Amino acid sequence: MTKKLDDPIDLHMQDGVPARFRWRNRIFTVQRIVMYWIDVEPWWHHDYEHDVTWHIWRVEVRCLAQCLTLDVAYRDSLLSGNAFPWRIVRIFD
Amino acid sequence: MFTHLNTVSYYSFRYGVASPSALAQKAAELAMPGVALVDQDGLSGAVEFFQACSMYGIKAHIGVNLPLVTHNKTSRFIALARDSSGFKALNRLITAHHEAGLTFDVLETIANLVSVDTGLVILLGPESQLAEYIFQDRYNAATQVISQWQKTGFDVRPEIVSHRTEYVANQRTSLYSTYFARQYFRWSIDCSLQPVLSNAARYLDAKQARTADVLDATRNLTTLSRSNVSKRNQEACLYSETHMQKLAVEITGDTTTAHKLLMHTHQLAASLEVTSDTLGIGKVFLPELSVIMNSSAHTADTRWDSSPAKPLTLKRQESETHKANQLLRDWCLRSYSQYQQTEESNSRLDAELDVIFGLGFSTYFLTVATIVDSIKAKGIRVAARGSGAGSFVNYLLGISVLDPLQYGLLMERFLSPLRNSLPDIDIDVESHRRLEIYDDISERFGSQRVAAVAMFDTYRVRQAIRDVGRALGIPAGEIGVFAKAFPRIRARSVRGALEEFPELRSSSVAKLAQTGQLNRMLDLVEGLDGLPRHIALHPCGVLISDASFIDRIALQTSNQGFPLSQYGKEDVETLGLLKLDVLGIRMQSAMSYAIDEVQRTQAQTIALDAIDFADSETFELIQSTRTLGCFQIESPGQRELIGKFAPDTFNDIIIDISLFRPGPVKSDMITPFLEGRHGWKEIAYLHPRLKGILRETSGVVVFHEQVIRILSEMTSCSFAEADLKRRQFGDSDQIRNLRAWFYSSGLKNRFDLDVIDRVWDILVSFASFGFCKAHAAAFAIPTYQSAWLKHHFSAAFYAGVLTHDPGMYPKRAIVHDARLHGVSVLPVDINKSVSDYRVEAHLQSWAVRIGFADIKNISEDEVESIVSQQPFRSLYDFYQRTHVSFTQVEALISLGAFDSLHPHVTRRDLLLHLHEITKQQPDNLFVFEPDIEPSGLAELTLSEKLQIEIETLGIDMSAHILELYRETLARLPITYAQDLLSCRGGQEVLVVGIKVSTQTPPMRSGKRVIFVTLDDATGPIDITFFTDTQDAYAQIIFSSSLLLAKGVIRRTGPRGISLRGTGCWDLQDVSGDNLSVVSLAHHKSALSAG
Repeated sequence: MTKKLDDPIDLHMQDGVPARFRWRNRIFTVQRIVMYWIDVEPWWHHDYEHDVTWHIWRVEVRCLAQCLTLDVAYRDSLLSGNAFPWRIVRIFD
Repeated sequence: MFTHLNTVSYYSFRYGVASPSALAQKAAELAMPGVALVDQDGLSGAVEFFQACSMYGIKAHIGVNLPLVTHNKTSRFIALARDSSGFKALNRLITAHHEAGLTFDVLETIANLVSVDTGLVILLGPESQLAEYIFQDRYNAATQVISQWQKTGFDVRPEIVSHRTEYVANQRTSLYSTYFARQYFRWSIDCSLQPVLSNAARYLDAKQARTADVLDATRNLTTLSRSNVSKRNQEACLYSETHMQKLAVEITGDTTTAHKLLMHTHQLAASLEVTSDTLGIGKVFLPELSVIMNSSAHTADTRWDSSPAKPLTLKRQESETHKANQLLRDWCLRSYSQYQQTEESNSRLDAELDVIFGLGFSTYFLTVATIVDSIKAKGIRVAARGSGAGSFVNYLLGISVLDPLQYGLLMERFLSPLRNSLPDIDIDVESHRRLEIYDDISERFGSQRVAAVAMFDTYRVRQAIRDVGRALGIPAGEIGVFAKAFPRIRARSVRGALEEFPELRSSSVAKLAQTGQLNRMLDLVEGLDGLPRHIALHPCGVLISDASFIDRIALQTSNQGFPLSQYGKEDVETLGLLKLDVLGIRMQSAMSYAIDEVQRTQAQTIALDAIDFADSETFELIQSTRTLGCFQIESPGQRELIGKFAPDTFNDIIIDISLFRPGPVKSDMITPFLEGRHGWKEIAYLHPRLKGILRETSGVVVFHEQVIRILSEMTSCSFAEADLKRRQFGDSDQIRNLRAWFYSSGLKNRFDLDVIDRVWDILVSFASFGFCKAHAAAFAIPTYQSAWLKHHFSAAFYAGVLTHDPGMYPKRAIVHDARLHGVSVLPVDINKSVSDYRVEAHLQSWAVRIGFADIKNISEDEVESIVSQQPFRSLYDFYQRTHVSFTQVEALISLGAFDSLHPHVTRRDLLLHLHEITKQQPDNLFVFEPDIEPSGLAELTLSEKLQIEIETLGIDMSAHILELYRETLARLPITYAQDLLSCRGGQEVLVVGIKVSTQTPPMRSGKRVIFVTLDDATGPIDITFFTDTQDAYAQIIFSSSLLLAKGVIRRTGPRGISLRGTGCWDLQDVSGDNLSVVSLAHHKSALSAG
């Protein structure tokens, strides 16, 4: 079972990959990167300026004794170069 | 040191985005040692790519991405040439693919044909069958595939690619995920294979990715959607080494293994060695002499009868060259013996032969002469065009008709000892028999040595708008209207055009702009600019080469079934192939048809290539400007020019053709020429020593040949050198050296500085638009011949022109021109018409009978069925004996085709009769032919007849279409074409007519000018609309066909009249009750006041 989410998090990268983040006042440490992918939102559905690229990591994390698999992601824009804060977008039970 | 081994250009049609040169440039900018081009299915980009890589100093690797069919499933693999033998294999592979598709059997055969120990490198990437099996966890099947590949003997490598797509089980886009790439990589290592890393690049950078998405939608004929776009992100870029290193770590999981993957990739790239020698750049591959001789032996030509040559078994190259030289000299001398020899002609022949021998091109001339002979032997009209007409050897060989010595044409413009490139001979033939000639050449030289040249249909504005519109899901009707509104310009000029042309700011654009789609659409349209859409048969180029041809050139088959080289015309020249341009010219077909008609009806043989070029009656016709239908001189602009110029010699026609081109018009060479020509101003020659060179053009520099002679005269250099210098004028890098050379040599030759200054200025500005006199002379021949036929054999001429439609005017305009010219055009007649337009005796003169072929929707079978059964006794007889569809019989009746069979009843009676006979049951057929009784139905009115004729034939046969508006026109102060000559300059007139042409040629000022020609039954009327009137009238001019126009008379010469348009209306808008349009009322008062 997976659950979609859109929770902002405060994430710290190390060697170019997610290392740990704070979520709901708890610290999660990344144990393993399962996969990483990039997804561009269909630009043809939206306004002329619409330009959204998602960078998504599927990670196994640990918080105290609890282990979880979840997708953390941020989006940016190719043309403007703007980047937006990290969030958790999916959680696997 | 990373090298991209899988990169495609836009020659992967509707898939790749970047040009081959752009890929080379980008790789060089990224400081890569080299880059590979592996386009889908072909090598069309290879030569451009190789040359660009050489220029940027990086290695070019050449390969191809091909489909492979196994168990009815298509996968793809990449084949890279390791060296020359690999390149041969590559060409054969591609040819085999296009012949029958590729299977493993074919691969093994090809592997056997070439030495495989070096040969080809095979990359099996995400689209391969191998990757597919790994993806499905079918490891045994994967192992089998590898061993099958290894049996071919080629070097086989898994190609690891990640576009960082999401990995989802069973979803094909996962083949491009990092997750799968790792799985594939690990399997490869486990199997002791040496995988390589690539990025399967489709575009230079992410900015081009949207264009790739549009191409995906276009290829699949769908709108943009997730399922139609092949990738979900923009990662198929030509990435930097740093990026690829990072990707390698992502895929392999650690830096050490990543390093290994990168090393394999680098080592493979380093082992590939494709050189200019491999491709054949800088060499010449002419057909073998023995092949020419064998092929020529089949011709009816008598050259061989007295030739000492027996079939040759020459071993050495040198003796073959020697033999070819001797043969060429023999052939020339044979016709030279009948030539009026002078000292000049003697030395010209020797000089030309020396140059040809020196360059080793004898075989080239022998080949072309053989082909021209064989075309003539088939009774097809043939004429050389282009600079080749400047060569005396070409004249003696019968390749060109004009004696270059008589018209001051130079060989050096065509062939020069200082340029080691194959010359270009173009030949014009009858257009409808061009493919016959291809077949003939192919048969003569062997299909393994002959192929057509390719050309590429590229995106221009209209197609780009259509495809982008469809991708964005805009309704086809809407987008069609928008696209059609644009002139035929480049896609990248779309925004400029929207601003410049008032008629484009119509409702459909406004609607798009409102929905906010316009900007995105224009971006995408610009992105498609110049991208080739598909490969096609070049309209004229034929390649003829030697036995090595199929190892050097990848071939496919054109839609018409001809072997087609994948290279365009510049590339085949680079590759040293003999390219003969065989151009189909409709005018040659028309003239040939006319000659046949004269022969058929009057038993008179016309030797058109031997007619007198100084026939005063022909020149009278030309000067009268009534030249519709004539080659080159029928356009409104040309008629205006010949009206001013009044050519009276053949040389004048050459000058006329050279002057009527964008360059001379733009730089206004015409005015000073005419002033000198007509003696309105004294001719100012640049210098007495240049007078002889410039006399024929009244002191104005018109021809390349004149530039060559001027340069030679002023600097004492040879013509060959002068031609080389002439070619440098267009090159801004060379101009400084050129100037220094010209000034110092000029001064040395005792020319004054101010003369040198003036000549220099003229030469510099001339460089961009001068014209080769030989080329113009070659054009002038059919121009003169067509005018000659128009005057002396008018009916046959019109029959030819109407049948083959060579010109710019609609047939109805030609029909009316015929009538003005005193040639009756007779309506379709069921017993007298044939398929085409024919000459027929009529009232002691010759007339043209309209044929069946132009009747709308009539099929060739129906026409055949009518013509083969002629004559008919009656409509009933016709109906019984032919199988023409009911609607077509109706059309024939309505057009009056049965009037002569049934003169006493009306067409309405005949239609009624037709219904009656068709109602009869087969078993109840009349024993006797039924009579047709007049039923009292009235005959069709003229207006009804005209409407039917325009609709079903496109030609108003019964009367001029303006007859329909007779009443309206009677109430307007119209000036007709026949009376325009008597109007004075500056007078404002109202004219009317059906539009026969609109042109927007390039102008001196760079502003758009619209030329419109109307036909009002008394002659053509030419009107020019300048920018100031276009806002108000452009849309009407382009969209309406019956026009009422207001304009001011401009007298352009003794017989020349043109109007400056000041207003324009659709005749249909102002007819009937609507006559009181305000502008017209205003116009009337203006007229009476003036």
